[in-house]
Amino acid sequence: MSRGAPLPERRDRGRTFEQFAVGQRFDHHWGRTLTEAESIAFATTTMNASPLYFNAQFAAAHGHDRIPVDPLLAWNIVFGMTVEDLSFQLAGAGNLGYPVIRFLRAVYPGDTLYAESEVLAIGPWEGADDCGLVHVRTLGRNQRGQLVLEYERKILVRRGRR
Amino acid sequence: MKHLTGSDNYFEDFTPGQRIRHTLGRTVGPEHVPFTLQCMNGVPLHVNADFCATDPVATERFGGRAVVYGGYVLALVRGLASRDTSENAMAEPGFANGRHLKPVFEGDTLYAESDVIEVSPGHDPTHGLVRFLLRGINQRDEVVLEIERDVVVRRRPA
Repeated sequence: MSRGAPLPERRDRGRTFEQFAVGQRFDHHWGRTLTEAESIAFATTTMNASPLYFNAQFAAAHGHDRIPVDPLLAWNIVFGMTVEDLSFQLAGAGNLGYPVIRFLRAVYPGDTLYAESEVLAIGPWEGADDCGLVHVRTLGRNQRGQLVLEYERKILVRRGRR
Repeated sequence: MKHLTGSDNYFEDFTPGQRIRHTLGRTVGPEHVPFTLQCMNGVPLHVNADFCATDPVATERFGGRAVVYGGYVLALVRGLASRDTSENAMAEPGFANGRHLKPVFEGDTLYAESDVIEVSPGHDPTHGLVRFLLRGINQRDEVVLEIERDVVVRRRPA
């Protein structure tokens, strides 16, 4: 059912394949502070069996003043902050993925994470000609600017405007 | 402190070539959407059912269904493997050569396997590095995810 009056086009976000270039850099939006509650919930709902991520006494006995954030949660949040710039026009995974993910420094509740990326390569994708491959390196930093994680990702991005 | 972790998953328990089929399975429910959003990820292919049902690319490739965000798939599969591989971990320094081989949809059930690729004792008497090939498998026995995973595992206490 139409609402009658002419409506503007829905505002578009994200980049298509043509809008990427090798060497392009992004300082991604928002930043994100992590809490202990979400970190413990992430560990328990994903069934992480290491008490390091949900038992403060165990974490203290293994060298952490506080329960550390599961590095995979930190990675997911850094990843999330990149998607509007990098993969809003995602066309699926296409058997691509993550050549490397490295966790370089512990993240603790209260830390704030930021994301930045650089395009390493772009090219065609053999699976279909309506998308292309964008290979990026993303860095995650904390509130002190320290590098906490880095990863590379190969993204299948749509060509042209929807 | 009381002994809180298992006794069959210390560094000494891993041998290259060993394949572990993990006990647990986990069905992906609608919670994948709030998880994806908690991670600041609003990609329409993961969270917008109307988009997925009407967008030409999404309907052609994925039958009009929302695809579960790959980071959630990785987190679940790593979790399913953790009881046998990283309960006694000191750290998980990273992953390599990760690939999503099949899309995961709401209602799918995930299982996990870990192959021990390499064990590196190093020089520290308290721990060593184990490299696994972690595999996520769905209810049809299709491999949905493969990724190499490094875990720093404690040696068995004296």
